Amino acid sequence: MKKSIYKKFLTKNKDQVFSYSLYLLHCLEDAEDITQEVFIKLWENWHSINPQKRESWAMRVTHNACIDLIRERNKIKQTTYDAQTIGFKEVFDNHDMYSNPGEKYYLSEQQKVIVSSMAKLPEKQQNILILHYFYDKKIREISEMLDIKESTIKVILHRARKSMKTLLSEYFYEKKGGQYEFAV
Amino acid sequence: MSLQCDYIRKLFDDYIRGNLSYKQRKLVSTHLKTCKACKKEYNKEFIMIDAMKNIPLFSCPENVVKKIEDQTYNKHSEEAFWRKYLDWIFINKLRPITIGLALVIVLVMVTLIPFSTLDNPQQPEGPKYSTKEIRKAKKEAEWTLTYIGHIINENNKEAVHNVLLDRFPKIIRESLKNSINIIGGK
Repeated sequence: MKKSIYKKFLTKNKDQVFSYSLYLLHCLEDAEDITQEVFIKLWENWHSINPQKRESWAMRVTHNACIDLIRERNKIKQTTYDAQTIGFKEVFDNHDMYSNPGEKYYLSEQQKVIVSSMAKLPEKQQNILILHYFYDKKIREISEMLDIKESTIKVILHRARKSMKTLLSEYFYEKKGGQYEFAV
Repeated sequence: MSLQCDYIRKLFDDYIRGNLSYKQRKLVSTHLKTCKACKKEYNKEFIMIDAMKNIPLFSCPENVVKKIEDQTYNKHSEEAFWRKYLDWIFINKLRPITIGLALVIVLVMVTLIPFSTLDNPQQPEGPKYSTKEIRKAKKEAEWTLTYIGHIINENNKEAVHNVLLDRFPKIIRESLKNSINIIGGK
């Protein structure tokens, strides 16, 4: 019984966990390792997790594992992966997976700009933006996943949107009638 | 920027995602018709949120899924019978009952074990005499009693008392203390 429920959960959530790791870490191998680690931990702790909160648990563990890895990288100063100091072109040129149309990790130029701009934000703002917009998670769900108050998340989200607009300002082109176009 | 513009701009995200009440939606849409600055900001935010919502969800590679399967349910597919049984107990939420039963068994064992010693109560320890000593003491007592009878007949009370003190072995004296009512005294 545990096996069948676990299998269904794995099928439903593996892409979400994997993508979240990839967008935070920008490294395929690390994202694969984190995904594997999260689901093995989930299997080992299956009975101690509330069935209604398994998804939140999995995302929280993924988040914590990614943050730990980022901090470890910063300690040993692996600047190849530090998207906050390198411009977005270098980040994506070093990773072919994002650049080949038809490849499963392909991002359009516009999407690359969004992802690399996000990478320049503080950790919390980046995480909350990804969960809220990429995964369409509600404030309450994010609060459960990251163990942060809902009011705090609203404030962080507001600041993150403001920062993103500033970062993307050079890509907004004004058209007639006050309309804007987002062009890379 | 006015306070109202500040308040309206905070509602843009929920307005775009359709999370506002009818009143709030009406408030935002009316303000956007009149405030050009907010209208520009709204357009930028709309484009940005729309682009973020369309960022793709990547598929987890098959080799990762295979590794997860090998480390989880495939590894444990040949579980021992007892582990499967315990798993069944936890899934069926019988844990409190199982723990309760175990506690009852322990309590019963703890309370019953001391009572098993009552069937063979220990005998109080007394002085140990050999059979030979008891026979000898009995013979001497019989002779002394005969002599006492002779003395009593001769009305010699003092002599009787002295004989009792001197002649009777200790074990006989102890046992006669409360049972013989000798003429003239104890």
